[in-house]
Amino acid sequence: MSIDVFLTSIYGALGQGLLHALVAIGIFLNLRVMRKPDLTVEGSFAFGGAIAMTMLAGGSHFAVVLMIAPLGGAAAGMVTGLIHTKLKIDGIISGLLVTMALFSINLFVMGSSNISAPLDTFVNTPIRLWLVGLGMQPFNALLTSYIIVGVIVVALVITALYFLFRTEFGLSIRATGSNEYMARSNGINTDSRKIFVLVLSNAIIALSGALVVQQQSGASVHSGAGILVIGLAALVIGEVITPKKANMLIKLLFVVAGAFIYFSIISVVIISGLMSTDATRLLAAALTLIALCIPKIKQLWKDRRAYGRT
Amino acid sequence: MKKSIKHFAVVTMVVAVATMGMFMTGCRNRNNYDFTIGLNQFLVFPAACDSTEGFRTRLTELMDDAGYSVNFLYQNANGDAATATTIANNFLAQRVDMMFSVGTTAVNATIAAAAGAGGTTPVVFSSASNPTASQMLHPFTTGTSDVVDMTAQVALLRELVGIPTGGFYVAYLYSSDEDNVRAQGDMLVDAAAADGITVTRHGVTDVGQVTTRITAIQGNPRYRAIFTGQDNRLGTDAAFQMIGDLNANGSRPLPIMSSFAAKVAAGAAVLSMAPCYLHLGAMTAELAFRVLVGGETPGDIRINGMRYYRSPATALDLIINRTLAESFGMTIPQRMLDAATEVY
Repeated sequence: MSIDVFLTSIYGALGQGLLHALVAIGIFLNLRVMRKPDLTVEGSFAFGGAIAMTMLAGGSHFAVVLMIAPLGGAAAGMVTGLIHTKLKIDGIISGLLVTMALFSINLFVMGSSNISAPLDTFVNTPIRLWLVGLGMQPFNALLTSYIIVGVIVVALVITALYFLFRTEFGLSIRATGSNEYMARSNGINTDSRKIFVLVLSNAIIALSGALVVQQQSGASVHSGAGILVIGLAALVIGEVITPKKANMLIKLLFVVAGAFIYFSIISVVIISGLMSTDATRLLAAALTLIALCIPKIKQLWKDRRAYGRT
Repeated sequence: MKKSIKHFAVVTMVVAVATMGMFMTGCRNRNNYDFTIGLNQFLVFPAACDSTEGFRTRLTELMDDAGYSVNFLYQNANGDAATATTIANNFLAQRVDMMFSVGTTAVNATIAAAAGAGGTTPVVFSSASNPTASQMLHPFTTGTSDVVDMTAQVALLRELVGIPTGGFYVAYLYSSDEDNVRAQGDMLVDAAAADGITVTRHGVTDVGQVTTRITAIQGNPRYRAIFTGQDNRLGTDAAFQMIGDLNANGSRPLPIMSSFAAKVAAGAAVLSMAPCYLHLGAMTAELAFRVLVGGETPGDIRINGMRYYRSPATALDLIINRTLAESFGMTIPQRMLDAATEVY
């Protein structure tokens, strides 16, 4: 193995990290802004992928597909939100119910459990061909095209979120997350804020699903399996490296960095042959645990320095 | 803001050093072989493992005979689509001479990576259920399909049940979220209907649902047999053992015809006529050899007008468990016992 193999592997991870970063952003909105876990993630990710691949196979243009797929996720989030706020069902249970239902809906949408579309209908094709036209080696062009797609989409999403959270409405969302009772006593309709965040986050996650299935060249009903853990790991790794006094923009950027680091580590471990791929899930769990522990260890270290050895 | 940039730089450095460390320890020389082949397997499952094993063994044999050395890089995605993509990208980065893949999701990911890379690295797939619909056929790809002729399976069912003419009912037990078993079910229903046999679909989305299914099937006197497909969920040893036990200890044990030979050997099913995945893998190896050494273009290799091998009669094994059939009070016709590859 030479240095360029290693670098290419990291470069490939950058493309995968950017596309999966949207999942981490979606989880960030629920878990950190709204401070409520949402389990619709795996369902809406697969739903976005299913819609995208079915439409592409049916001959739709990828631009249309990337606009419709998030709507599917938004609908899923809306259902979770309505069940949670109007029927007063626990948030975790409502997410689970929607994910279970989406399994059957995905089968219905795709008509089978796996679906693929011709490779030249995918979102990265124009960029890839343009790069090859510029004289780039085809494999590098493939990896670069997904990085460019990822950068554009992630930049759009982060910019939109940044400006959203500066508006009065956005601030009312953050207020609802911080202290629901206080927000309500200030005249904020907290139910509508909760539903909105679920709609928004699941739309972003479905968009991620729509992009990822194109990178994998096929959607399956099991596309969403394990995606919650990947997103959560990316989020937690990103948070550990986030500086203390960060605004919303910096926080979101570090979440994206977390996704990249996650995929780099997995990719390097696979290519180096250090660990069998059987161990990647174990590695992911260990990484997340370490990332979660770091703040605690930092605190212990500080205490020790402040009080001396005891 | 300035502080966060500095922070970001420090973090990047740490990550870079850590990954470089892993890279250094993982350094290996892989350049001493004539051919290097990346094996991208989607998950650990008997059919997939046999396909990979058959491919590896046969290709090594062929290469040895021709005086070449071959190196295999085996990676298994553990059912994770994102990992399958990472593996394919890594193989291309390592400039393998060919990629072998088994499992629809992994095959798609491998083909997408190879196509994007200019289609210069050939891809061979093994045991695909429907290469055409799954968009697997390209100029740089070839492989084998495990689709079997259902008419022969229906004839076998009829002989097993012992009703030479006239209609009866067969229950088809499968995972409703698996593409290949759904397609297999459609073909079975059509082939059986042509012979006057009614096949009803009994789909499950969870192994636990099998209990109610088996009870219902046994409780309905019209059913004379159970047929199970090439199913990844119900095909696991534990799940199938459960199906066998439920059936044997139920109110009216029925002969089970499985698509996996191993289930008959294990005493859970009475009979199977199924593709031998080792054989299919070996056939895939022959295609790979023609591409690597013979210099043929993968997409040009055509067998029976198709761009992939469809599992032929030579790759099918007929396995019968006579002991189990007799414990149900059934007799297996002598003609079937004579035709069997193996009888338990």
